[in-house]
Amino acid sequence: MKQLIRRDLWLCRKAIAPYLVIISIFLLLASMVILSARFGNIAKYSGGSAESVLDSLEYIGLFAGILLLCSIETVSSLNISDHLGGWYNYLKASGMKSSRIVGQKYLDVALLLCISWLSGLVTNAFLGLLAGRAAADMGLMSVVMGVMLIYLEYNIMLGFVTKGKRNDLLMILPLILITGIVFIVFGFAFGHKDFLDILIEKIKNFIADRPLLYGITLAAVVFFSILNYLLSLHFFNKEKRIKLKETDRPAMAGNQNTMGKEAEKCEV
Amino acid sequence: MDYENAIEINNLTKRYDGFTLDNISFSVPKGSIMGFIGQNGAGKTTTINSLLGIVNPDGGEIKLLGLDVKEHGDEAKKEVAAIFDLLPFNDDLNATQISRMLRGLWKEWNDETFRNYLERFRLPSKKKVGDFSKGMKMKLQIAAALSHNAKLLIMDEATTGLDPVVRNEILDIFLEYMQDGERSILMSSHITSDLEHIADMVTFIDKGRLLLSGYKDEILDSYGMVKCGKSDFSEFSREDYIAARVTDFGAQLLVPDRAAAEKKYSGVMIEKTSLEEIMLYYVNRERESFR
Repeated sequence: MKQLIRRDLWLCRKAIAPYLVIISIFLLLASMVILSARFGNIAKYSGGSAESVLDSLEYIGLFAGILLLCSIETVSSLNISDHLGGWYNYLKASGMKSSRIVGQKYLDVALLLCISWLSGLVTNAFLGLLAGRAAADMGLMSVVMGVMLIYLEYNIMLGFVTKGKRNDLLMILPLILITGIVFIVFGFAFGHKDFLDILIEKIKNFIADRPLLYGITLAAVVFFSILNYLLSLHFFNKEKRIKLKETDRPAMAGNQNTMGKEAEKCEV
Repeated sequence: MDYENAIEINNLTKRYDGFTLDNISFSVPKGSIMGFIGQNGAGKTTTINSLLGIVNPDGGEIKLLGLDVKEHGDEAKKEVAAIFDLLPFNDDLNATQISRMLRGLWKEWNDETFRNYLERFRLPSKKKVGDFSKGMKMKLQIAAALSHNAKLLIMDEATTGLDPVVRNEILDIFLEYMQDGERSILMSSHITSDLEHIADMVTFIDKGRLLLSGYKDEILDSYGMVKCGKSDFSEFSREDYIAARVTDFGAQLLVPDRAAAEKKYSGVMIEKTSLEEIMLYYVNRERESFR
């Protein structure tokens, strides 16, 4: 199992590398700005702005974790190529159980999630150290990562449902639905100021009530992870419906294709 | 576990829209090579996929190495190696990485055996397999299949698309693999000449139905090709031949029992035939130009 996870992560490395490059660049720039805000020109010449610069820049650390989490999309692409390239058939032929084959992709996701979260923690702590203050709160980053994870796992599940056939509409369907709901709700709210004020107040309170926020996020992540895994397993075991086209049917009388040769070769 | 047949298939049925694999039954005795022949869409891949558990049959019984695949499929497949027409390993991997990966998959994986095959096949260990030629990819797959002490090789069109030199090399490897008498091969192919070269037995499938199964030499000894004039052809009873190709110049008939035909129809020339001709006449027996 370890070797197969290594295989998946090795194959995803090319897609993960650009994220690491972007994060490194941001980290470098953020470090330079933080040092300038503490000891350099920003501190000397920007007056009180140096403090607000330090306040905002520490969130770069959180950004690192979230960005790296996007690399889970490569697991989704690998899932599709494993379907189409025959790798899953090879694994089935080797006697590996379907639950392990499917579970391996979710293990890849779990690993990448841990790596992303740790990256966020490390960069956050590093920048906090540079800024001379405590590391930024990891809670919000974790909530954002949790919500993103649900969507990324949905894409992996989609790969198992469509058996490797990319379906862009199904991929963006949750985003369309959520955007639609947001537009409808806020569209209504903008026409009714009281409702808008209440809505914004409720959202602020919800975000401020950290135990509730974390609890709901964790519950949603666990629920959707299990649901995605079970649906993936169900569709992985379900066979593709094959409808034979006329050209695929075995040779009937008059069909030229016999044993892969032209009928002319049978001429006496 | 002791067993007589490496593969036993009884009444295998699988239904798709527009195609049915219909009650296929045959066995591959331990220590033999079975050639599995049929044209495109005949049901070879469906049969093989059913054996390997890639698709679930709608009916029938399958045993691999004496074990029922429904009850002990996972255990049986540990000693089975599958070779597909396309390389299932990702193009970005090299042979060394594939070896490391397969070590985690097969309990009896042998690195040294794999390395020896790579050397023998002159395959580079650090080059990405995506840059390999078709022949090299097939050799890599074969090297992988032969490196975990498999008792049964199941191949789906493994030699299709390869040049004769590479095919010959691969067939020699298979003959070597069979030397201990304990191993078996099921090999599906269009290339009947390959099967004539190495197969002990052949099974022919057409339109989802089993047409013929038996020892290759017995089949070739039994079947014959009659060449005669149109007047001689008119004397033949329909039940004595499989199909006939009649032209203005004469007739060619495929007879299933050469000895009986020689006795009954003295004076006509009956020649030995090949697997290819047997298959072609069976497949085309419903065509207008055949009778």
